[in-house]
Amino acid sequence: MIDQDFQEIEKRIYKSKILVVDDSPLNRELIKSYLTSVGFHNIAFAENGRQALDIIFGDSPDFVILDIIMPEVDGFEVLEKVRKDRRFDNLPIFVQTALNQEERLKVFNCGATGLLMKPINQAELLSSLKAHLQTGVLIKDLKSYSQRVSKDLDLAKSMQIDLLPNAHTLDFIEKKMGILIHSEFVTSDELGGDLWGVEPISDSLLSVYVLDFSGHGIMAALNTFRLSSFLKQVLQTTKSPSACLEKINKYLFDNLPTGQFATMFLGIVDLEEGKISYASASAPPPFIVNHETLEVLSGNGEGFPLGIVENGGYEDREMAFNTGSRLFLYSDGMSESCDHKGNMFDDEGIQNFLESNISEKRFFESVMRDFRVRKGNAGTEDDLTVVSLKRNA
Amino acid sequence: MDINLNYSGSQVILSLKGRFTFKDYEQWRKAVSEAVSRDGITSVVVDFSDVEFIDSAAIGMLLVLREEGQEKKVSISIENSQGQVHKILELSKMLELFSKN
Repeated sequence: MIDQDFQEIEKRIYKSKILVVDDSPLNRELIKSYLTSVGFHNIAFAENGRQALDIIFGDSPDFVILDIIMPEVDGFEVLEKVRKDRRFDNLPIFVQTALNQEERLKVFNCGATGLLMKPINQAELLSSLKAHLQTGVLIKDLKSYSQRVSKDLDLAKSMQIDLLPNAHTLDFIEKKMGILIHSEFVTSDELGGDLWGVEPISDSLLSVYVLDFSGHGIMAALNTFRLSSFLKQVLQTTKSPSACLEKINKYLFDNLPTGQFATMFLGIVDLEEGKISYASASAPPPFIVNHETLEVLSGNGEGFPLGIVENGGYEDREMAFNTGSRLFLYSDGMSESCDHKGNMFDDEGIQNFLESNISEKRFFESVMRDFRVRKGNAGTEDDLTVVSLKRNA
Repeated sequence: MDINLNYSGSQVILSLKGRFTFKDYEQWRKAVSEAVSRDGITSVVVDFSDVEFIDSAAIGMLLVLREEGQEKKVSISIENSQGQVHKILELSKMLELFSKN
């Protein structure tokens, strides 16, 4: 679209609508013959300013050739009225003139795009005309292109949000399993490379994951779409977190180009045993926040990122998860953010946020507020995902 | 980030300085292809002494280097990482991966 062939543009400018405003029939005929002889055929005529305004506001021409001295409404008034209307900011208006220096200045002050010296010379007229019509065509193309792309991106963004757990699922998990889930999902561009989800496996087992593809933007987002259906299937059919990661790793190893990969935390909450078993592929460490003992414990995020080596050798790890405990997960968009002095929070910084808010009633909101207040504008802009699972029963 | 190439015999040392992020993709590709394809080179050492930060794209770039090394039978190693950089390379098992060459 953007590198459209020059010839194609050349062809399109001859379809442009040109308005010729002149009170002299002879002049109108002359200009008409200049235009038609090279192939312009969409030409309108006005004998005075009033007619000109009617045609401009009614038909929005692509180019106007305007005489100044006319009975009733003159060229100055036409210029002033048209330039007051923002819709015509980009309409090229060339004024025919034999006026003196002072009046030429006035013409420009009133909003003329350019001057055509009287008597009008065909070559001069055509070169100004073509240059402005080409620009007009390009601007129109760019506008429609960017409108189309931004519409597509909006749609893709809502599709990406649809990949995340919906309110109905979260409500079901809260009522059936007594687990209250909070989350935050912010993409740095229109689309992001993060994904998170929860899948109930039985009445007492719940799987939860946070995944982060390398890079961000459209390319990373495409990977989240690619993986999401495969992920659902693996989570429902595989018993241990490490075995799940192994399968996802193999899938990505076979499907991703070298240099692209994902990090992932995958946990299975076991309400009967009061524990979380989990495996990690280079994800930030999971935190267990115990609101009764007021302790924050860090898990272990070590493991090969997904899609790099054929066999990841992932390990199953465990943490206690009793009533009153909370699992806190985040993507590196949080830990790699920097404070106002440019110092990275790191995982220790996140742990500090959790510890200092541990007694807050609205814990999740407080932590996120703290994070936003302390975060400066420096550092890498990355996608941000934060998920918290609080066990109430 | 600045990249410096120092050749000595069959070895080339890529010294990196600054923040190693997605912005360095172009110059990284250029430096790597120059280093790996020179005649007689059998080992590439990436020196992280002066690297303050790496993002996930940097890990991706290291993996691309690793693959090129494997194709051209050139061994690749990562050395002298510090602080956050070292932690990330360790967390993602990159140090382990690159020591197996």
